[in-house]
Amino acid sequence: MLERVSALATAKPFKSAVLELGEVRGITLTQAAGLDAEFEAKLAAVAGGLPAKAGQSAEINGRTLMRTGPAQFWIIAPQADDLGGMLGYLGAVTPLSHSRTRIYLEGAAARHVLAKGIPLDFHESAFTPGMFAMTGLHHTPVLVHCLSAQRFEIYVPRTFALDIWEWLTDAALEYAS
Amino acid sequence: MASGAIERPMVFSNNDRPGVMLASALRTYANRFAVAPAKRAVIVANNDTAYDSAIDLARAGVAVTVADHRPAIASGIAASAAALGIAVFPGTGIADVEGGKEVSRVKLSGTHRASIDCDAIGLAGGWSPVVHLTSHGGIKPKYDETIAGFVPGGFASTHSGAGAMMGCFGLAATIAQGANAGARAASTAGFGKTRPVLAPEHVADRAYAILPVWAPPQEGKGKAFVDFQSDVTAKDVKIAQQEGYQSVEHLKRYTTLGMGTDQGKTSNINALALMAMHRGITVPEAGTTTFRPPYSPVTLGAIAGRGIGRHFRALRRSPLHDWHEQNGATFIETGPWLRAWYYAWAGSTPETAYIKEMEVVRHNVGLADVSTLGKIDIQGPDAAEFLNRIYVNGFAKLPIGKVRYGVMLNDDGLVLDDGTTARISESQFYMTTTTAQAGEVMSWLEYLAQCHWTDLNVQVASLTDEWAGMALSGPKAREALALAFPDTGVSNEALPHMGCRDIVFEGVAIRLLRISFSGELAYEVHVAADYAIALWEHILQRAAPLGIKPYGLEALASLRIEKGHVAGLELDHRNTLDDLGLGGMAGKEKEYIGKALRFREDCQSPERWSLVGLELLEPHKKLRGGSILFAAGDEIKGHGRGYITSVTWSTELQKFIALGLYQGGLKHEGEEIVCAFPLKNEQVKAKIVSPHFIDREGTRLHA
Repeated sequence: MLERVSALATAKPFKSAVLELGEVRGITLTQAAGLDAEFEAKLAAVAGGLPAKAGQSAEINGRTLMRTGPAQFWIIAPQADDLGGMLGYLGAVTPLSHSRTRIYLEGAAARHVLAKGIPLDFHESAFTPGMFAMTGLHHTPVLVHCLSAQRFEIYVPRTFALDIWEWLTDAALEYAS
Repeated sequence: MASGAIERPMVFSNNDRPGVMLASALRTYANRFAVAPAKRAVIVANNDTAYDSAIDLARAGVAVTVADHRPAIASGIAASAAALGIAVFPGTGIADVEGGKEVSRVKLSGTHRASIDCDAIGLAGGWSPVVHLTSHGGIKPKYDETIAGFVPGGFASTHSGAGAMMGCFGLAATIAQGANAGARAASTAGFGKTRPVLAPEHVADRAYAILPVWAPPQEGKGKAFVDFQSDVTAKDVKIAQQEGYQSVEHLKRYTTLGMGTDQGKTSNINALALMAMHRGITVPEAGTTTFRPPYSPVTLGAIAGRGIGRHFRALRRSPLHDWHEQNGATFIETGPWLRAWYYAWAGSTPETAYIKEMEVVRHNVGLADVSTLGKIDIQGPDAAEFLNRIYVNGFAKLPIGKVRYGVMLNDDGLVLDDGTTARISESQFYMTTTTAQAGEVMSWLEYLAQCHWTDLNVQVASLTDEWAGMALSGPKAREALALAFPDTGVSNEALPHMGCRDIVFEGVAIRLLRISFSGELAYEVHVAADYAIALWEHILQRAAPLGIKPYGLEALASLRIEKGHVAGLELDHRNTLDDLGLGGMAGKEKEYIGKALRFREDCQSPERWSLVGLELLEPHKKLRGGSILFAAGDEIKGHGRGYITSVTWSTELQKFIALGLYQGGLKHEGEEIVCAFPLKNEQVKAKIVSPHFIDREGTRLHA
């Protein structure tokens, strides 16, 4: 039996009264992209709907859907998801579950720590639950997703994940105790 | 908001001498710090607030003279000043300042042309309301003639202001304005009824009564500074106007006015007014620059976290990193990557360890981490056509289950990158790129798909982070593979050279590619990244009876030199296909990117620096990367005829060998040349040979 090992296996944990960092394990991340005219309609039929606009995720049938490019979607689901099979050849279906490490930041200080590294407006009135952005953090391309007023998840390319973790926990030092 | 106001300096000759400061600064020394900042101070004034400072200094025992530009001074103030022994000269300014390391004397201008000994000069040029907050909010400041300054042009709906920021410089008026603004804020916040607040007792307001004075008096001959931080003088403003940099935005950029850490808080108004004067327009017509955050200088580190030490730049780790770390690897930085350089089992220094690691691969079997290779998923009905246009060699007819080596050019016709691409299905391909060019190739493919060839139905996605890769290389590689995957047929027939197979092992998808970088019988095993360590350990464990060992980057890079494979060091975007000996690969009939410019005259010159192999002719000496190559008899001077790109000790030939670029290339095969390394003042003799040092027939690959 081959065991899975996280990119953050050796990461030093971070938890304080105002901030907790952790990894969301066991997800299925599928990228679906297509160019033909019916692609989106067919994908919507299989997934049960699509997010209306870029920058706003949609929760549909237990999955999170995001528009990540022209005719391109990320579909995030629990570990055992049969979506890939259901999609068949709709367009290009690319499994990316291992390619991203999903780091969460939760707590009153989460927005402050993100604001140190990501050039976006993280004010509560500007970056609201459901919104996501494909942006950069410490020279690394990341997708940051707002789950609630005080919870965020960052999808970091796996090979950068430990470095980003170390950068985040360094940036969060002022909230460590 | 009650953000106050900042006092303005006045512009006159030599106003930068030590001891010249704002009058309010002198007052702060006296009142806040209880320090008499001078024995004899001269305050140059154009408004009544100057006397607040003059009186406080006089009370602190300083002998004070006021040079007041205004011809007449209110009698009440004149009387207060006189009572404290303050000498007041109306209709007077400062013409010049004497004193080098400290102020020693001022020459007055105007009505009273006297010289006065002093050791400090206070500048009381009026007050500039701090309009930054409203300005940051996008509201342009407006000019108020009565105070000769800019005030907020308005407020956001729930904001209001009071006091000096509104141009209100009297205490009583400020208290009243503050009470009103507070009541409005309470009402906005939902507190309907407000009770009148009893104002504290205070002295009656003196007037402000400013007479704007912008230009320096004519008499002074020294530099009259406007911006003390950026050394902008009144003359510089005049020159800017004469040169045509008349708008405030141009003035700022031409002179660097207001670009210091105070962002023009003290200097801007004087400069704007001078420019307006030179242009014969009013101050509001000249306009003002926009204030942007931050208000005070803030280090980027305070805002953005630290970019120093370990966090200077991002670091990439292979999915196998933790294993390498726990199993004796020494790491080396290659671009953003931290890669396993060599392992402790083979030695404690790179010079000795990589040779043992090479020997394991040449004579037995080794396992190397190649996860850093760029990996790209290419899908769509037009994927084959897409690749056929990108690579110089044909990909349209690549059979499913086969891998092909490919080279791509940039649109200048120079080599961009090489790698292998496997055909997974009719409409899906799996590309690998070099580690160094992975990002560039990915961007290039996306650009081509999205901008140039929108008619092609093709999608690309990076899999570099999704898949780990390990190279299983050596004469016993097939035995090792069979031990690791006993249920998979790995015979030469089932998985021939340049073959590709997807298998499932213990429920995990694995991609086997029979490709070789080392020149030995070799396979790459790719697996989803989280499984990498488990699979790596599985292979090492199962193949342990064969004597399998891990090998690092140094051995990986050396093995390929012996084989004559070009890599990042040769693929530096300056070489043509022919320079690298790859011209024969290019399709004659088909079109591909870079084809037209590849045949530029210069790209076809027979004297171009092109790929050669080099063998060291002097045992006990070394070849060094970067050495400059000279023909025998050349003067050792200048850029020579080429240089060494890659060098290694050859375990097969038992001598130092190298790849390099040499003028005319293999036309000179067999010639003896000189490799010069000026940094160590070394010159060694080497022979030009084929860059393929071992197994030119490819017997080992096909074994």
